[in-house]
Amino acid sequence: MAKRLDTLDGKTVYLVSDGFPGADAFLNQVSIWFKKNMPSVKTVYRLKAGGFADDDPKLNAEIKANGQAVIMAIGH
Amino acid sequence: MKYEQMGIPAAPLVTIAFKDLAKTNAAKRGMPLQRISFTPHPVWGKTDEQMYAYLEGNDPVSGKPLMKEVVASLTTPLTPDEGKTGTITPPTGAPTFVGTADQLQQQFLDNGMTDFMPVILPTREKVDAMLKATSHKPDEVVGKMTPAQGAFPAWSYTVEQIAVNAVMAGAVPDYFPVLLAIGSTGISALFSSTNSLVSAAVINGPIRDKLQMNYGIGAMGPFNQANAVIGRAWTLMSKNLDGGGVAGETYMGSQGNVINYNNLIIPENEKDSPWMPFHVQKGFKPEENVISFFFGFNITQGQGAKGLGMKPIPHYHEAMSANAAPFASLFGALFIVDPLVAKGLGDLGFKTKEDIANWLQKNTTVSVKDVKTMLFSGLPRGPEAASLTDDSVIPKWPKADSYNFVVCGGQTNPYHQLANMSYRLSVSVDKWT
Repeated sequence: MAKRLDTLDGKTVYLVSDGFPGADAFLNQVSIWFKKNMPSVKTVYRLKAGGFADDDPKLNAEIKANGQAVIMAIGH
Repeated sequence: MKYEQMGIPAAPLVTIAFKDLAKTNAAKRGMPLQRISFTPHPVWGKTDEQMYAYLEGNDPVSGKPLMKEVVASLTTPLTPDEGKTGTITPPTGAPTFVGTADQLQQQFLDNGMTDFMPVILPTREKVDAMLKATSHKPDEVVGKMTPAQGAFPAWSYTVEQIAVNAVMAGAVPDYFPVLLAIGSTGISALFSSTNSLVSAAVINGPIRDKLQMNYGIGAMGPFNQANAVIGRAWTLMSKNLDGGGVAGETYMGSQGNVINYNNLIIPENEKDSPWMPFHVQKGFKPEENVISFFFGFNITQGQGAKGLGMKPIPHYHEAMSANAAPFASLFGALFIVDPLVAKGLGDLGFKTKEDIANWLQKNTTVSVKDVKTMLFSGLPRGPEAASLTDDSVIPKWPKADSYNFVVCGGQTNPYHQLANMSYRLSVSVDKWT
């Protein structure tokens, strides 16, 4: 597992959907939760390309360049 | 998992129905202590308020406040054990078994290695007899299989391991090259999806007659040893060679599907078909023995649709169009037509499978408004999407190759069945003899 962050304050957290129905709406609520409870956290929603288990190298590169953490919704 | 490997801390937020799958999969990938948080299931179909209440509530597994747990999983330093990495070797079991035949049957049942019907015990003698049906060595690696690509590690397997499953399913040695060809593709018949998906295999070439397969009356029913046993062996291989078919862990189909017992095995009735055999469509020679794979939701009968009451020749193409229109566009349409239907379509001017596929592609349409209400039926992407309105009418599938046709049946009635399934690939059986 990767080294954990000291804090999420001021960090960019990617909210990644695996494409299952409902994941987009659910992650939108996660984004709202951060705005209400941890407003310094920037959230970015992305739908992962391909099937639920497929890798998405383009998105991986974006997260590596711009993000510090990921919350991934799995299931539906 | 990938994000952790990239050095980015990740918090999987998983609905509780997938608890065992998530924890098992993390362990199999060498992260048994991965921090996973759970929500009630499902989130799909819930209101915004209900979903937000999930976030404000507790993780149903740990009992801790959910979002605080998610934040902590990203910010609390790893313990020494959490920082470890490694791989887990799939269990292979004991190399020999000592006990009675009934005890061995029970062991297979207890370990989930059957379809819960009695199996033929794979004695050394029977496995050796199976191995003689191929020129390939027993320890040759045939392929790799996983219940879901990317979600579970793939297991590799040998000729001998497929032989064991072939014996268990009731195969005679002549069937073995077909089973090796199936194994060579790495296609599991038991995909882990919640959608209770099914698999199909179309068999073409002289081997259909060599194995005395039934492509006539009752071809898709329990009326022929080869048809039944080849499909059953595929299911057993999908359980025992990749760890699949463990309900709640590697198989998540909400209702399951009776077809998973022995799959859709469809030997094409080349003799009575007016059309080109399926494998020849795919570039093989008529004398080659080929198995072609399909995958998708299910199969249904095609009767009752408009067009079939037309006289003197039923308008099968109209019925096929009406049947396919409600399908999910995630997969395509596989039509399994009796030779009488194929000949009737020929009389209507559809001289080839491509003729009827092209007609269906042009004439099977749906409105954008309806597509927006259909699950697993996405709207077109790209420049053409910009001009679409709710009143726009678009093809059900953008390409004719989403419609596939196989001729099978005994000409006792001009019936067709159809499956919401997509073509995957075709492979030679002959290289496994």
